Amino acid sequence: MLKKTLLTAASAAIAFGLTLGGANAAFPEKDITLIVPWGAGGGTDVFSRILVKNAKQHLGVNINVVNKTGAMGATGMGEIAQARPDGYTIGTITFQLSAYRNQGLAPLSYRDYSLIGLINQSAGAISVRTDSQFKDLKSMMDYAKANPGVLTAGHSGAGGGWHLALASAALKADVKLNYVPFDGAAPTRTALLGGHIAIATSGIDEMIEFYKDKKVRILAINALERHALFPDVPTVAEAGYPIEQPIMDWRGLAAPKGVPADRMKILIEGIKKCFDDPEFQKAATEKGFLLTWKGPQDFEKFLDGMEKTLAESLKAVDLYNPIK
Amino acid sequence: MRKADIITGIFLMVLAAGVMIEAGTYAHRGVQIEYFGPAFFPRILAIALILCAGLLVINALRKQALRRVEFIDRRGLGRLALAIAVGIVYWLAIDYTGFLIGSPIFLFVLMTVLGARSWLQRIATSLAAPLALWAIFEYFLVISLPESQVLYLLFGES
Amino acid sequence: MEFDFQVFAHAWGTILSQPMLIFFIFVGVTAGIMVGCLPGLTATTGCALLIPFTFGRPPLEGLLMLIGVFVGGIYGGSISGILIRTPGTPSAAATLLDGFPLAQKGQGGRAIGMSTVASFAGGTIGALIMTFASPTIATFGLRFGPAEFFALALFGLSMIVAVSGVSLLKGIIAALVGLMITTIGYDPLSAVPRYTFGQMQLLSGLEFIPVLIGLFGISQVFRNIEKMGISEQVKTDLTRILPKFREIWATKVIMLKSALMGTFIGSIPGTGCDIAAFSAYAEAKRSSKHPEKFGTGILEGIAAPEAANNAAVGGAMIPMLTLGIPGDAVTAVLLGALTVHNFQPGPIFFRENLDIVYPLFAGMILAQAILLVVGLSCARYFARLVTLDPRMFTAVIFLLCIIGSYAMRFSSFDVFLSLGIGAVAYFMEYYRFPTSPILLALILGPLAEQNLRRALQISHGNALVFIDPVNHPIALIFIVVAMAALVSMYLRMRKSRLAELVRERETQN
Repeated sequence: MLKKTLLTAASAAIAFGLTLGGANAAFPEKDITLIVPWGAGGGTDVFSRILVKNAKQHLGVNINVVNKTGAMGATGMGEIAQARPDGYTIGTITFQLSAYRNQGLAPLSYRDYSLIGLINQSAGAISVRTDSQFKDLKSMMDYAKANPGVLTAGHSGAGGGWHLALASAALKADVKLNYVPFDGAAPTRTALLGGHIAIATSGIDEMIEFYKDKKVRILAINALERHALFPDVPTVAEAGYPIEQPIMDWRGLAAPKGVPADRMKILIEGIKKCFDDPEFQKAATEKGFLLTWKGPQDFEKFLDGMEKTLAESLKAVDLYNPIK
Repeated sequence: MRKADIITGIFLMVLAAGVMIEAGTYAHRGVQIEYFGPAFFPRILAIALILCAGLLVINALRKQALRRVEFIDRRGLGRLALAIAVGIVYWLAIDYTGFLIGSPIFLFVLMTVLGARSWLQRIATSLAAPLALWAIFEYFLVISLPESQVLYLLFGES
Repeated sequence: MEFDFQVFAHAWGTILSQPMLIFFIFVGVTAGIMVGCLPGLTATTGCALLIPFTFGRPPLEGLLMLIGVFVGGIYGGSISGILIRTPGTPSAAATLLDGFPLAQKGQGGRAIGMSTVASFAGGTIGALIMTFASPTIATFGLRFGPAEFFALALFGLSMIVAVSGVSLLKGIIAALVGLMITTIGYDPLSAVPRYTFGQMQLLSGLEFIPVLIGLFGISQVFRNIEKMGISEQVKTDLTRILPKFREIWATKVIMLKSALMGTFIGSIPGTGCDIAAFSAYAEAKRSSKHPEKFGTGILEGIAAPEAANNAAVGGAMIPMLTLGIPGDAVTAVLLGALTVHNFQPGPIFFRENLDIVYPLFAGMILAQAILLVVGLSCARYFARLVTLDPRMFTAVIFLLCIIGSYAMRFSSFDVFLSLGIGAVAYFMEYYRFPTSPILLALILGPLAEQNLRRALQISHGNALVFIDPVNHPIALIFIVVAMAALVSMYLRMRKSRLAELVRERETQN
């Protein structure tokens, strides 16, 4: 009996000591895992990979990307929220997080995370083929108004940001389009190039190659300011259709809720260094990722506003179905 | 296989009816694609399945069912049930045991169920296979297989 | 763009003069075969997992390694398909139809040998077409809009006849159930979750890989467990491990035809090696003098899908390199890898970075040769796997199947899904429901549904778009070919089926 108690005490002490040792040890002491909720090769995946490419220089350890896909990103983002809060698992969170609850898809929102930072905000673009009859947004909208339901407008998925942006703008201008949903940005682009649809909405970064090659004309971008890589493309407001708060695609990094504050501080500083890395800045800019840095507090404010904006748009297209 | 075909046919018709009914609940939800909404395709499938399953039943009633060419071995089925149970228990417990502890036990038990008797072979195989797999995943592919939560609680980060 | 032979010759010079490049292709091919062999780890996963290894090295080395993984992975999938009836990658699912019966006869080595040669031949043809005809084919791929995709999907579904075995009705039922499975989950066209019953796990539908492992791998494990001790142990004929040259030469027409089909299908964005393999298998069966022998273990049944799926690798690279549009999931990952290395594939990249593009072409062809050498030298060792003690072997395969289902997205739900599907598939075989039509339906379901609805949306509900000879000639051709294939195959096979049924009755009575 005594022997057993002693044994228990001893093992408890060992366990305690080890735990303590773990907590005292410098963080991070082993590689960090970055969960990416979207498939390898996609925009979010590429973005995450170029961001943490040089993590070893900035954090002292590697950050390994793991793609955990499924359920419209909710699988991976759910996994980030439920990961062990020791700072060794972080993840990329994306636009969809702002709509899960209001669309009735998954019980997840930004409140389930310790936010690290907002890194990318993408503007939407309305594009046509270069040989299209429409030279600007106004002529297209006028044509659509005169011929309701004739123009085919491809977008990358119902309820996605670009669909919501175009649909709410069209509703406001009292224009009826024939919406053709595709499963992602790549097929939308292909269909536009092949002439199967008249206009396409997508993230502006999705169009950069074809814009440079003069295969598509971008009528307007859905943002408050012009984009440095597309200086001749007007904003929606400049084209005559003012909006208050544009819907933005966004990507940021977050850790599960409950990571100790000192570790969060190290993570935020480390990621900020990765963000400031000239190599990342150059690579991301070339790909059309609109870079921005918002620390945890500003990020939270941004997400709060985005959730409200999206709720309104979802109501406008009849997709509002919040989880109680 | 007459009886089997009739039972399967009826089951499939019920399934198709279920698909049909459920389609009615979401047909008008979501973004209204003007012409063909979310329920369009499932409904076509359900109707086709009801027709085909009906044909299967009718064929069976007219004694045109295919014959069985193979028969399930009763004792084998018992062994299979046991093996599946071992598999389910293995994966239910994986978060507690971890891959490296759970898998050798699983393999050893399963081999015993399957009738392997040589101690040496059973132990060697059930240790070697998971270790090799684990090494491939951990070092070559950098994917972590489930780790033991119990050991984590006892010894902290390791 | 004109093809520049001087630059191309220079590209070969670059590759052959740098042993490191050859070494990396070799590493890629070998790693690909390994990853492809393991159930659940596809060529896609392999490439994705190896991207980080390409960091910090010259881009060409990394890219060539990834191409090696792609080539090796598609081939490697057939090895596990043949030996343990668990296709390592979806594209190998058509190969096991004839590969596994051969392995059961103790001729696994012959099957793997055939598969290696067909992969090499198909892959080389695909890579050559990719080298010399990329720009032409790329423009053609763009003509595929929703109407054309739907017609292509219908064409694919007409292959149900070819893989249904004795009962066509049961094959169609299986396919319908498979199509229903694809409607589970979030519908991207309307943003409505269908048949998820509020379960987040089901939001993206049933994951393809675990279902695939369940349908073929787990069901076979269950069967082996039930039959353990009853069926005799397979004896591999060790004197004749590799196929004879004469046997391979006899399939040259099938290999060529399948390779051309494979390249073409692979080059259409949104389709991939799996569809290519099934199409080629169906076509080989249709045009064969003895269609009834398909599925019993004949070399033609391996040559066709393997030549096609490896040719499709080259095909899928075409739209990725020339337009920046990935042909399938693996090329999507390669596209990502190129992007990580600061290249942006697309028309500009293709015109201006010939120093990268041409070595990629050359490396792809070289990868095929490496594949042939590695594959043939390993085939004899692989072939002996089946002779291991089944009581141990089956247990290890069970473990492999479980881990394979899990590793796709680290989900325990997928493990149990795979076990459940396995149990259903196990009983289906006893009641003579074929399982391959389910697989075909899973591959083609989303393509068919989404493009049907999309095409009708664009045409304002006019169903005649699919047979419009002026605006959609490609769609019309596909539909006509599908119908013709359906009718001719049905008539021919009914004859052999009737004969088979009569034989069965006689043996039983």
